[in-house]
Amino acid sequence: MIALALLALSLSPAAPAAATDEATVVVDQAGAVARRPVLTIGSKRFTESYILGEILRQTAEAVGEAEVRHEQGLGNTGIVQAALASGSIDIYVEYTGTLAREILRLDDPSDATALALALQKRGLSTSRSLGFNNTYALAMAQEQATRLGIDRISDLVAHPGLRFGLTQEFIGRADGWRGLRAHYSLPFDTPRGVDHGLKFGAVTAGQLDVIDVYSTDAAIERHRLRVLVDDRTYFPRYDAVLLYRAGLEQRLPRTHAALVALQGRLDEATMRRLNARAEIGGERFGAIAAAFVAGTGSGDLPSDGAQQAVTDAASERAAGAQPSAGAATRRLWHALFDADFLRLSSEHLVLVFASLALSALVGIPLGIWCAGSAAARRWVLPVVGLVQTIPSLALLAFLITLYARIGMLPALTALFLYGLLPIVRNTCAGLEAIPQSLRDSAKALGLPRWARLLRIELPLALGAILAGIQTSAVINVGTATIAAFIGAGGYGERIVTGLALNDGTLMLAGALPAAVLALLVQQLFTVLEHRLVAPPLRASARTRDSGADAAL
Amino acid sequence: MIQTHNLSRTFGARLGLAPLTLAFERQRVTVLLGPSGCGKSTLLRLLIGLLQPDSGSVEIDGVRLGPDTVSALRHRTGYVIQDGGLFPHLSARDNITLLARHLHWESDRISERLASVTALAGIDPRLLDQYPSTLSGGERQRVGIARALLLDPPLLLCDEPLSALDPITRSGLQQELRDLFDALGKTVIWVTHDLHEAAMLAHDIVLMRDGGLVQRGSITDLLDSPADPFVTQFIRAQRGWLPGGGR
Repeated sequence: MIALALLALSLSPAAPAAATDEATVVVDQAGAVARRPVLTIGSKRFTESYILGEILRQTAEAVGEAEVRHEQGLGNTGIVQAALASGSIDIYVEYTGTLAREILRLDDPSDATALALALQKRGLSTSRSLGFNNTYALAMAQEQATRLGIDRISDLVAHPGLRFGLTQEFIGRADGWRGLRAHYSLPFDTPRGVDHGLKFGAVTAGQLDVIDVYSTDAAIERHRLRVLVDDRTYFPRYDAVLLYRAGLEQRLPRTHAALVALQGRLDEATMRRLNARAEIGGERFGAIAAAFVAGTGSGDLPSDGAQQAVTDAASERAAGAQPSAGAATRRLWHALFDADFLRLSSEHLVLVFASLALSALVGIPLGIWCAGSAAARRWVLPVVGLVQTIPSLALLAFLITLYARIGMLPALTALFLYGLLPIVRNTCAGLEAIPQSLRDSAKALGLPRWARLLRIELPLALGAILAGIQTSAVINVGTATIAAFIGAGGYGERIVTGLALNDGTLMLAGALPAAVLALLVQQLFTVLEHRLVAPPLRASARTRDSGADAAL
Repeated sequence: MIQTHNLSRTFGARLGLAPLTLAFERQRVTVLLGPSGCGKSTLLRLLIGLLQPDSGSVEIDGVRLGPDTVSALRHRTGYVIQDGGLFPHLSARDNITLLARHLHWESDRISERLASVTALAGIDPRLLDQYPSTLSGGERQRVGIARALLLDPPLLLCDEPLSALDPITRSGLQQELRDLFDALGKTVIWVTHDLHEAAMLAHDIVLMRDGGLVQRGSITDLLDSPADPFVTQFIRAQRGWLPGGGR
């Protein structure tokens, strides 16, 4: 059961995010007194982006010119772009290759004039490179690459049986898989997408042969991978730059100056070491950034006691090494009831139940309408069903654009829309299942339309309606983990931080409470059914009666 | 008095009721008799507005049945169907008193009326808290009748209410109901396909076939002077070798 829930949860795309709502309250109160301008930094959902986001936050905070927030781990490039365009964030670190091909869709990424023009048109500016080129690359397990004699991407052509594991983003990007395949005439079909955090384990275990990596991935050395040489220069440069809304320089000149001063300060080796401190050392992003900003952060692992703790964690997580059961349980226990447990729980509960209440408030009347009108049934059910088929990321990106903001509001709206179908359909089916003779009896008594609905039809359909709401609720508990993509919080934060860090314990610490919550919701509806539905109509009574009939 | 004028109804290509003009006398039991599909239930459902006529009209005590009058007319009419038409989510008590509660009667008035209709319908008061699914067929039928009598309506429309019951229960209820209708002076229109039930209950029988009237009269009229070979055939089919009874 739990394994199933975990599978479902890890399949649903999700991401971590900051405590945006708490932060907003505090800022609003402070703002009322001090009226300080606000700078919101964004980051995408992978280790490097988290760390760079924290470095920007701490650098800007040190200036003291603005109230600084960090919207962490926003779903993907599309969502970060929507957030930047809507002003939900002011600045984040982007890569020039992504910027030119994916965001601005330039034909020639090296044309500096075209780049500047396209940026200006969108009201955006960039800094110069922060100092490292984090390009896409293909990688294989070293032993296998040696055995097959593969050093360069063009060597892959001779091995059409190789299994690829690529991230969805790499598969879909204009500068990703499709272009690469055409450029090298690779004889491979487009593979299924694998999460960035999971594919390293899969290639080490021999389940995959070739994966996409970032050249600053900490996991390259840890998993003993060989990065294949881009011998026909397909991948453009992915220099890390600050991408921000134009006007930042005028609005917050000192902060802008401090951020731009980061140019050239991070080389590839430094970035890879910072990434390793998070992924192998298990340090918090904030702590890694603090060390860097304080100037002690050349990127080396910390020394003394901290070093020891980090080594312990690293040895526990080293590939193949099994931690002792006691230590693993302790780690899980700590991760489960970490300081953020109450905040994540309350966020998750708000997401699930606020959206559910809305779904019921709208869905039940829609279901009643459908039951009474064939025309409504022809339109409402397909439309509500269609909403269900929209991928969650696409829906979220659309809602962010619509509301011009990220966070709770678009997340609640998405969950509300996803929750409609089971409620509308069950309400409609429950009402339609009422025998004609009972409808006639109610009419013949002289009860008006609304009284028939309230006293007879809805009570008779209540079991089905509750079952629909229950289905929505249980689905919502799982789907709410996607809210973390857009900074609305919930248990999804842990699951996707865990995915980004390849930290199974952290994923479990997010998935377990969600699974427990799903079970509690089931239980809650059993109690509700018992309290609200007339005894002869309860599911338990129906089974018992048919059992008794069978015995006779 | 209930009067129909050229009342008709079709269901797609099938004829439900051919244009029919008919009057029902007050305080008498009229039985609509005939085989399945003869239009007797269609006529009954038209009389209480559960079906809309294609043409014609219904008048009850001078009030024409229509969207504005249907509610008031239904409150002056009791409607009983097979198995009582009871709502499964309500106890026997709540089924009987549903309409009184909807009309916001005082609770004293409700209990008083409940006691008197349960007595009239012969219901053991201990059964009142049970749900329909735990009552016997005969008990359910009595609850249905008590519910129909709650507002003391002058008119009762009964659509084969007893046809799901075993013969002994059925025969007992027929006698009880005949006495009850006589005692209360109700105008009753009763639908059945059962000649014996018609003979037992009816002051007046309307024999129907294919959506139209074949013969109207007492059971003796039907037995002694059948208007049409169909009448003889219908009576023979049901009397079998038993001697026929009359009222």
